[in-house]
Amino acid sequence: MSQALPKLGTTTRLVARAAGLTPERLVAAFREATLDDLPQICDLRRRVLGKLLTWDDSAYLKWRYRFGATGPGRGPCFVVVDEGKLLGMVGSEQLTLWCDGERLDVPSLMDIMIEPSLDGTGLGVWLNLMLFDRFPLAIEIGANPNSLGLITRLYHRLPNRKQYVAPLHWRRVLGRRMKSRVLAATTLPLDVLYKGWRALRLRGLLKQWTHRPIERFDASADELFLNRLAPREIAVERSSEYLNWRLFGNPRVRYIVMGVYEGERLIGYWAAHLRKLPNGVRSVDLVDWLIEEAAGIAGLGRLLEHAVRWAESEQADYVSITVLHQISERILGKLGFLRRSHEYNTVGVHCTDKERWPLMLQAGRWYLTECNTDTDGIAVAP
Amino acid sequence: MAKTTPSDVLKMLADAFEAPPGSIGPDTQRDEIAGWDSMGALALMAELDERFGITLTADESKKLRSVADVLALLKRNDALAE
Repeated sequence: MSQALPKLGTTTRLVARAAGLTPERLVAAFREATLDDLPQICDLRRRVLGKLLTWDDSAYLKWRYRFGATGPGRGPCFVVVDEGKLLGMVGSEQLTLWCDGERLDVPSLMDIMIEPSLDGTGLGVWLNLMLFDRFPLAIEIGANPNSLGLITRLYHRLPNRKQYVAPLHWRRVLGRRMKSRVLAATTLPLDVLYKGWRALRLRGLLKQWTHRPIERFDASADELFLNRLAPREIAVERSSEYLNWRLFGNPRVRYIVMGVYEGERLIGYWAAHLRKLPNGVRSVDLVDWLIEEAAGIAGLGRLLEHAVRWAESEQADYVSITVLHQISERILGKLGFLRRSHEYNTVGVHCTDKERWPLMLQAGRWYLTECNTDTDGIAVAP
Repeated sequence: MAKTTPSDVLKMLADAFEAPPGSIGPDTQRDEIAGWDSMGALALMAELDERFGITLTADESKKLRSVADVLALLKRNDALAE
């Protein structure tokens, strides 16, 4: 956060005037959304997202947010509705964060959208400030240019999440870029070497583990989270309830979840999304993973390698992981993943009491995967 | 109300948009200023309000597409010294 936060009172006055309202009317227009607001919310999103909106948005929003007292959503959607007209919205997912052994309720803010006719009024900034007034802790995870300025100037900005890519078929991936089959054929030795290297690395490593698809998490997931690797990191609580909602309830995307077992005991899992991109490239996006502490960092490496093996079996062209997690990032480098930085994969933390929660502002403590964002694999190829 | 000068306006804008000093000139377009986003627009509104008593509607804010537009706005409101 580069400058002092704008004051809510001053911002309310300026934004209200720009929007043609009184400050009192603007504040009165801010509330939690109900199902009655859903048609206007869908209409706004349709107009703003345009061709990007390729899913049943009403079903998605009803899954993601809590409208009124009912529904599976894990946080309210906040709206600004004046005289029945929707002016803007921001969604929230109520996360349970574990921070150095302390359990914290922290909303993750997302899906901020403003009626296009009100662009330039500062309404988006105002929405953030209203939520800051309500919540002492909040995070915002950005993935596009629109959030860059807000996160940079309203939040304590952590290092960006980084994307790691492991090409599985250099010839297919590079061939598309080279637009020359002759040139692409020269990459064939790369594929052979890469596969051979992987086979050597995995030889004997996975013998004691079994892997089975998970279609529903049970109490063993709760146990796994309590015994996870690096328990003093800042991590989203992965209860069975949360994981079932996040990985099996999302109508926008289907995830494959693989459990890792020692005997019958769940010691880890990974979750992935298999995508076919418009240019024909098949991508496996690893969106979440967890391993027990007893397996150690080496175990985490094996788990990620297994996911890569699975992606190969699915004829994927590459594996992609976007993450903010020092341990995982070190391992991904050793596993041959190529790191790519994206300017807009931002993470911001709002914290009103830095003395009480100093660790929240330390980049090295965080463990954030794509499970903790709302991108759902709706992203571009690397 | 005391009038401002074009050079002071450039400094004000650099501050509002968190741009490097000297990086903004009279011909700079909004698209060329990374910090002229929703936060920057709000900061500009605050500066215009506090320094010059100028209020902006949503339409007026959106129509400001360049530094020249801001200078013209200030001139129209008799806030810019020649």
